[in-house]
Order: sequence, then structure tokens, then C-alpha cells
Amino acid sequence: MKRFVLFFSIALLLVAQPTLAAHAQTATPTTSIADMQQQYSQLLNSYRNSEEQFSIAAQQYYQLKTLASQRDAVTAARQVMLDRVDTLLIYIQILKTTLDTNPGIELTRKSALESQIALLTDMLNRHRARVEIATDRTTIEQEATFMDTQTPTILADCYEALSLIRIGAVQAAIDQLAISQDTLNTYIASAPISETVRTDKQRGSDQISSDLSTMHDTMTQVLAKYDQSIDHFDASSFHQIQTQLTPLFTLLNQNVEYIQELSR
Amino acid sequence: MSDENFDQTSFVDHTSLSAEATLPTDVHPRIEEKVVTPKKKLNPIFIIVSILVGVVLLSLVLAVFTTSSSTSQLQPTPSAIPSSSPGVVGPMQATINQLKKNVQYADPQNNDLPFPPVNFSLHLNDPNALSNQ
Repeated sequence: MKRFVLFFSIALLLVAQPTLAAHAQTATPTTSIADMQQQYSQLLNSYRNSEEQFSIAAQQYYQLKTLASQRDAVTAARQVMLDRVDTLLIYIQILKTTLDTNPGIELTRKSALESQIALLTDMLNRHRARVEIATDRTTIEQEATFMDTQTPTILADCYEALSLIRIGAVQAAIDQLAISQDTLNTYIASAPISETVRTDKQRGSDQISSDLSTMHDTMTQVLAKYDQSIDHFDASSFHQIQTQLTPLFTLLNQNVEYIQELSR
Repeated sequence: MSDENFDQTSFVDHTSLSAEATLPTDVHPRIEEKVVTPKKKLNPIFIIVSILVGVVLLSLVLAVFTTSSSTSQLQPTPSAIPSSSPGVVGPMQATINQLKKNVQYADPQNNDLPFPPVNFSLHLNDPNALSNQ
């Protein structure tokens, strides 16, 4: 009896282990970006706290100009710089992961941007390493100035990534619309409907083809704008691309309605 | 036994003695066994193994339930589109559901990754930078 129970429990463990392992494997990719976003929120909160501390310490140092106030200000500055760079690093990591998982982004543009992001990450990590060991006011001030000079690059790369993510999302929707239209054409050809209804539906499908053509043209213009902005991307360029994409989004929504009607 | 009793060639004492000698020894151990058996305690190893089996079964059931719930979340939500021929409209519904999902995510005004609100001018010697925060 004991042997049977022992054998039974071992057999159950062997059966249950692959199931649990498979479940763990399927759960990992979905939680990856969510985990990073949670980490980002925590780091941003830490940054806000340390920025407040730095503000107080820097004002005291500016008013008192004592060695003690300078020491406190340097410590606070080092902490806020570390929190700032950590926040930026995790944010860039989220952007990179979103780019990787976005199916609508063209590979050439994606790989070019990923190279820029790799350089940016490397630069920020080196800045972080220098700040971590900085103990005097001069070094801290040098690193503050260094970040001043790097701000346009950081903003450009991040807004470029945001733009490409938005473009990729719209492109993925256009691609899916083309797939849906193919499926719709198959349905129209084989559905048990009268010839009049079939002709009407075919006309509707032709309208979708025409809209798809318009969307491809507009997307070409958006990509041209993206390529023009590569050297000087900022929030303004990103908003311009958002504005250019908006009519495409409206047209996509209309075509979703068409397809739903035609598949009835 | 009855044949032996009626056997006239055997000695009476012999038969009676053997019967008397064997009867008590045969009966008593059987009674003792019957009395002792219910008092036997459960082996602790058996209890531990039973608990282990219970835990494993419970975890197996939980794993099956979680897997089935996650797969049900991944399945496309049933569409309201009526199906005239299920073999053709099935893929149609699936592509429409995917299209809706893609279009919903494609909203260009929906920026769920805004640039972090960090201050790039953190200077100890610049009171203007501090007052701008």
C-alpha cells in the first residue's frame, strides 16, 4: 500500500511538473513590459523625492555657502542624478521592448533606431558610473553640464522611437485590414447569396481596396516626414507625425465598419 | 475429528489429551489478534505521503484551472456577426477581431509612453535652474 502511494505521488509530480513549467513559460513574456512599467513608476517616484531634496539642499547651499551645506548639496545632487539616469534607462528599455514587439515597423528603420538606442544606453550607463563615484562639487557640476549637452540627443532618440512605435501601430492595422479584405473576398465568392447581393458586396470590397491604396500613399508621406526629422527629432516632430497619422486612423475605423457590414 | 473419536483402536486418553492440549492454544491467539488489530496506530510516513499527494493534486487542479482561464482570455471574443456558413465566417470573425484590436491600438493620439518628466538642468551654481523646477 505504502509503495503504491509513494509511486502514485511520484507519478503525479512528474505529470504536474511539465504543466506548471509550461504555464510559467507562457506567463513570462506578458509580464515583462508590465514589470518594467511598474519599475519605471517606482523610479520616477524616487526621482521626484530626490529632486525635492536636491532643490532644498541647493537653495541652502546658495544662501549659506558653507562647507556643510555644500556637502549636503553634492550628496543630494548625486542622488537626484542617479535617480534621473535610472528613470531614463528603464524608460528607454520599455521603448526598445515595445519596438521589438511591434509587428508593423519596417526592419531597416527599426535596426537603425536600435543602434542609436544602444549608443544612448551606453552613454547613460557611463554617465551613471561617473556620477556614482563623484564626491566633489566640481565633478558633479561637470556631469550636470554633460547631461545638458546630451539632452537633445536623448530627446531626439526617444521621440524618434515614439514616432516609429505610432507609425508601426498604424501600419500593423493597415496590414491587418488587407488580410481581412482577402478573407472577405473569399467569403463573398463562396457565400450562398444571390448574385445581386454578391455584386453589392464586391463593390464594397472594391471601396476597401481604394481606401487601402489611399492609406499606403498617406503612410508614404508620413514615413518621408519621419526620415526628414531623423536628425532633429523632438516633441514637435512627434506631434506632427501624430497629426499626419490621424486621418489614417479615421479611415481605418471606417473600414472596420465596412468589413463588419459586408461580412453579414 | 469425529472419525477419530469413533475409532475403537485408538486410546481414549490420547485423544482427549490431544484435544485438550490443542484447543486452548488454538483459540486464544486468534482472540488476541482480533482484539489487537483495531488498536494499531497509523504510520506517520503514510500520513505525510497522503498530505503530499493531496497537495500535489490540489496544485495540479489549480494549474489546470489557471491554464484554462488564461487560454480563454487569449481566445477571441465571440463576435455579434451572425454566421450563415460556419466554415467560411469563422476565419472572417477572427480576422475582424484582430483588426479591431490592431485599430484600437493604432490610435495616434494614444501615447501611453510619455517622455519622463525629469529635469535636465540640475546645477548647483544656477539658482535660475532651481527656480524653474
